[in-house]
Amino acid sequence: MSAIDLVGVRKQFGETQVVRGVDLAVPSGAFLSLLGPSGCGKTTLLRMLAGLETPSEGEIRIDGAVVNAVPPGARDIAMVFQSYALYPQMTVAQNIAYPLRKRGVPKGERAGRVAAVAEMLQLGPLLERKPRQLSGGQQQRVALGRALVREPRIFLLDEPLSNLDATLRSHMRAELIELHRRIGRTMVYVTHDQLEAMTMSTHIAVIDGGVVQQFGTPQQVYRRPVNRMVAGFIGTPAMAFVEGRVGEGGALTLAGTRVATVDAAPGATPVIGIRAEDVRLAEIGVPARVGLVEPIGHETLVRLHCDAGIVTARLPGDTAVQPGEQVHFTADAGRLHLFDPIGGERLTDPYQGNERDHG
Amino acid sequence: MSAAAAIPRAGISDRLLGPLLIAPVVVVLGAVIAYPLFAALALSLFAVDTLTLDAQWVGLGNFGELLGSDGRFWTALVVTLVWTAATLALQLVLGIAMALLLNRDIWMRSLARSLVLFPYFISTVVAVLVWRWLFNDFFGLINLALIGGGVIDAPVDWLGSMPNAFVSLVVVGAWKFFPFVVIAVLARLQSIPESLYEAARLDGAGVWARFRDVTLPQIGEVLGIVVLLRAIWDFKEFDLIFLLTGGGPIDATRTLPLIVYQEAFGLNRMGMAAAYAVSMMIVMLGFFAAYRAAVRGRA
Ligand SMILES: Nc1ncnc2c1ncn2[C@@H]1O[C@H](COP(=O)(O)OP(=O)(O)OP(=O)(O)O)[C@@H](O)[C@H]1O
Ligand SMILES: [Mg+2]
Repeated sequence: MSAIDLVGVRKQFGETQVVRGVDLAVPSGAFLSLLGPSGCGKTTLLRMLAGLETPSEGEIRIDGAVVNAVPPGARDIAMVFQSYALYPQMTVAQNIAYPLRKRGVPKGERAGRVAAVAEMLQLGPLLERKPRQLSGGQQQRVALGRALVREPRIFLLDEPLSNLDATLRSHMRAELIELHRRIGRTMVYVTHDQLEAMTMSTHIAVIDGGVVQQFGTPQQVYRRPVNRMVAGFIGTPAMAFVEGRVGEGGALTLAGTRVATVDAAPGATPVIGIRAEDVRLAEIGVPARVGLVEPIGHETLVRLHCDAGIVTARLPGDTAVQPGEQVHFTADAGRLHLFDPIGGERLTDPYQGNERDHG
Repeated sequence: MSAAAAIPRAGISDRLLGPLLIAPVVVVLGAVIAYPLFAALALSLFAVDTLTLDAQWVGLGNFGELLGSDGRFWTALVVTLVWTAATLALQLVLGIAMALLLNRDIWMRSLARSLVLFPYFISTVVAVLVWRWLFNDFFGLINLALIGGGVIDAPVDWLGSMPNAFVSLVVVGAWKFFPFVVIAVLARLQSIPESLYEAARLDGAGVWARFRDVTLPQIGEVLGIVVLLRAIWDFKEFDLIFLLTGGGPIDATRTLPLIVYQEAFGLNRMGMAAAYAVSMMIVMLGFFAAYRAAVRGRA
């Protein structure tokens, strides 16, 4: 059964349409990431789940029950705010205990549960401090603790890691994954960092322009992006897009070199998407000139300028190429992504035979 | 290039320049604060006739008379303290409530925000005149409205009898000065992050709990300053009381500042007036010390 169902949810502020019809069924126990560029409506969607914002249209269901009119405090949801929103005058212990106090949990039980949460988040030594005496990472753990202590059905997290430095961030990422594994509750996580979404989630919803572009597992979204927007948003370095051309007998050419056979009418010009790790240098292939070379240790990122555009290749670290050098590259036909040149949607399975081994 | 060096200095060295620049301020402050303060202290030790300014050294005699004999000082001190506490409490309640209201997205908010400052900016003389009309026992609007509404069946003497006069005074004082609380609190309210309220709602806090656990702690500091300033100003309030009740009926609303005035210009005893003023200052210093101790105790 799904923990959260969104049915035709829309939200507008005055004239501005922010969420334009979202349908989503989040399985119970999922770690769902809402991923998308800034301003696409992620926070708005999350706030509607929390009850801080009412949908202009559509239905929100939690465990099957419509909650549109249920106030935030009664939804059995906890939210970790991007700004943490800790009560400044309360100590860490009081902050964590607050939701219990408001729900009338007796004092003795409160102390026990606060202690358990503090133990889990290693907040023990900090319990008597005020929020302003804590570092960003510590504050975040307190915010998490305040959410955890209630054992709600659903956790909502709005970019909780965005204020942290890289080290603490990857540390907290691991902690969150571990936490999700341990408590097994449904979590909805907002981020615009695709790496975060890929590594942490069981499910990803890629959002753009107030619409869910794709919903699926990280693998599905990575391997079979449904359109150019998703394809370009997921993966680093970003997928390269070059113009292809279909010739006689479905021969797909890239800068004049045949790269695949497709089931399309001659004269079509699909956009070819190529991921950097699918590009190889070869004796025969698409001719290109080496542009920027970025050695990053175990591998080297090379920008290849061909007649159809620029393709980035992720090559072994010991690859010896110089900027300006003329090379040839190829990519497995089965690893190419084809998109409609106008609408940008994925052209359905041009190579069914090859698709299977990585779908 | 060397514009700074080119400014003619008229031979003034840097060491002299600093003191010279602050000298005007020192002189002005000395003239308006230090001089009157010491003059009052000195005056309080003499018996001075206001009209002739004949002075006779009496030492602490003025203070002896003030504290002993007729108990006027103590009565007035109690009246002053009760007035200050009552009107300040009412100002705080009204001011906080109004600030909370104006902080919400209400209709015509910016107009309402300007209108609410009106009592504070209007001259006290004008305000009191208007209130005296409203309170008038023959044709005052308040009596007319209450009689019309069937609440009372004979006009009430709002300013000439007790405890009405005192209550009226407290109400008019609160009306006149609550906008100060509104301004200070509203400014602070606007800087409270909305996410704190949202977190509290998710944590299951109702309206009252959100006020107590989010709003109040955030405006606490500002309220402390507001209470300090308003307490000082209400304690030494003169014109409003003088004009509204003149200290009456008899001496039921006569606060210390009114006695100072009476001594100085009614009884022509300038020295005695100064002694009352100095006593007021000592009382206020006591309160200020207590306030500082309280603030430090909390931090
Ligand atoms: N209360 C509001 N009134 C008017 N417009 C709003 C309001 N809240 C959000 N918006 C608009 O809705 C759009 C989506 O906002 P939202 O905060 O959901 O974006 P987001 O995806 O969370 O972006 P980010 O990654 O930058 O946090 C933005 O263009 C924003 O300006
Ligand atoms: Mg956001």
